[in-house]
Amino acid sequence: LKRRRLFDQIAEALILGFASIAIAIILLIFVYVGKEAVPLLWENLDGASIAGTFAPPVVWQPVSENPRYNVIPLLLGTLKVTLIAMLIATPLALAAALYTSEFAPTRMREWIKPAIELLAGIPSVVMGFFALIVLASFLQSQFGLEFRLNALNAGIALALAIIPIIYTVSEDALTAVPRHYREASLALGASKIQTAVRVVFPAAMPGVGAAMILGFGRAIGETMIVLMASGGAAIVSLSPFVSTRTLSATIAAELGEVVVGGGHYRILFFLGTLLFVVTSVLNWVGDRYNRRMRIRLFGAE
Amino acid sequence: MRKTIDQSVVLLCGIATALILVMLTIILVNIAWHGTERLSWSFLSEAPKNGMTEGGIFPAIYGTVLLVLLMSLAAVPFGVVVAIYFAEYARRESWFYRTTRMAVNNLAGVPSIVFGLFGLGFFVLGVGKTLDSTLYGGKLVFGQPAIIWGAATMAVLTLPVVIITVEETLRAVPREYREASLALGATRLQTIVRVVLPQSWSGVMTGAILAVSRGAGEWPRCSLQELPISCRACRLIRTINSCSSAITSGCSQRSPPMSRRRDHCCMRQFLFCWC
Repeated sequence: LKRRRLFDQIAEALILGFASIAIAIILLIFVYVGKEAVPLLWENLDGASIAGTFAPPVVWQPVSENPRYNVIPLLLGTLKVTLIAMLIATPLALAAALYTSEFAPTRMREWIKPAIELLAGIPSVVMGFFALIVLASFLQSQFGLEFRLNALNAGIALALAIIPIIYTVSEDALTAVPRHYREASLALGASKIQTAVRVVFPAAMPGVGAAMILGFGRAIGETMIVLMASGGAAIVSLSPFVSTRTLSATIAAELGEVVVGGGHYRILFFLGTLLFVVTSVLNWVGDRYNRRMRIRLFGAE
Repeated sequence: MRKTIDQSVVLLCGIATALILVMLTIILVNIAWHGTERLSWSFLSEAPKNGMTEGGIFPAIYGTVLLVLLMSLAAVPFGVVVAIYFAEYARRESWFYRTTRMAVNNLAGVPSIVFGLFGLGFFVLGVGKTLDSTLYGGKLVFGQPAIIWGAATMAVLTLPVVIITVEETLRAVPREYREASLALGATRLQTIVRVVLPQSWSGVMTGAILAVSRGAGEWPRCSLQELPISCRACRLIRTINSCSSAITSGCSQRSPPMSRRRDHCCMRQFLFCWC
């Protein structure tokens, strides 16, 4: 019996050890991505510095005799593509969530949800590939666009990628609304649709907000789709029909060719840190919203 | 009047749902169609020839399988151990648990490109360069992009997903099971290994499958480059090519045979991620 206890203690110590190694590596991510960008704060490496990333001229020309690292074209491109994706994905996904949770017959509900979640199973490379080969040609021939690969094309592909996220989270929120909310509303004489739109939807609002925030976070960081489908020119323009370059695509495209420790390298890590911070904040806010909804509906977490 | 509005709301919602499903079908059918059209055994079993305009995609398949295998070997055991620690040992109110749990939750939503940067900074330039300078006196062996670093980075990428899934299933095992086992005189560890874990196998499997499917479609920034070799690449410090990086690098070239290759690649990826 004594030996067994010793064995147990060793095994438990091992569990603890392995768990702390894994947790340490996870926490190291926060350190290691930021670390490479930190020297930029006080140094000016081949024209690269934090202050320089917002100083005029507004061009992103990392590889030239006189490199310019202005991130505004990239920020604008990221926002443009993300916004297009959100404008397409949000109404579609929310309407579909409302339909599945409130109006659809039970048997239909059982296969619609897995089918839409199948969309999430498509790897983003495949989605990007589809946008690059099929969607881009279709859009160009339909609308007579000057540039084949543009922000709209990437935005649509990105919308397809974030629809399952927005849909799943908001559908869960809608179904989590307690039954007596619906029954009370119906008993007061409201129709089924009125109940869905005026009672269930507002009650699930924080969850729906969380869904949108999480979708936004995913869209900002998505790399493969925008790398392949957006054209990749760092242009300052508000038009959705011109070629666009985003933060994530810039890191992916340029990281393979930079000098380790050089200015360009550090700038790319700075862009990574920026993405990391933005998505972390969005995730955190989304989580808070979700928790707030649970507290509101059930009185506890 | 109100009835018309009501009906149009339902109709609009139904149309939105149908639209999503139609787009899904278009993507699946399109890729499966073009993929199966050109699928052949030699395409799957041969190496690319003539500057990637002919031949097959075997190196890419091999790379993907090896990468995913190595990644799961690292991610699943670690993930399960951390989940056991979170669910069984850590106190839920403790400061440590809450911070680490929040970090894990957060990392599940961080874009993979950030993990790529981390892999380059930590594994390749940190761990790899240190190994080189201590073991090989500065000769370049480990300090370059290679399959083990790719697999390690992807393991870190999938770790949060595995942890979250497994922890949830462990917590779902009823308290009575644990109490009954402890009351019979079993130790805490015995309870976990013999009672709690067998109850949550399905969760562990779900976590593993999620990890594999995310990993297979992922694009390992820090292990790829240069389309190489064949089966000889068994050494773990070689760079390799995976299906997803083959698609990406293929996209920069425009020749017609190339597009055929890409279709195939897609097909492969699909089959892989679905099973």
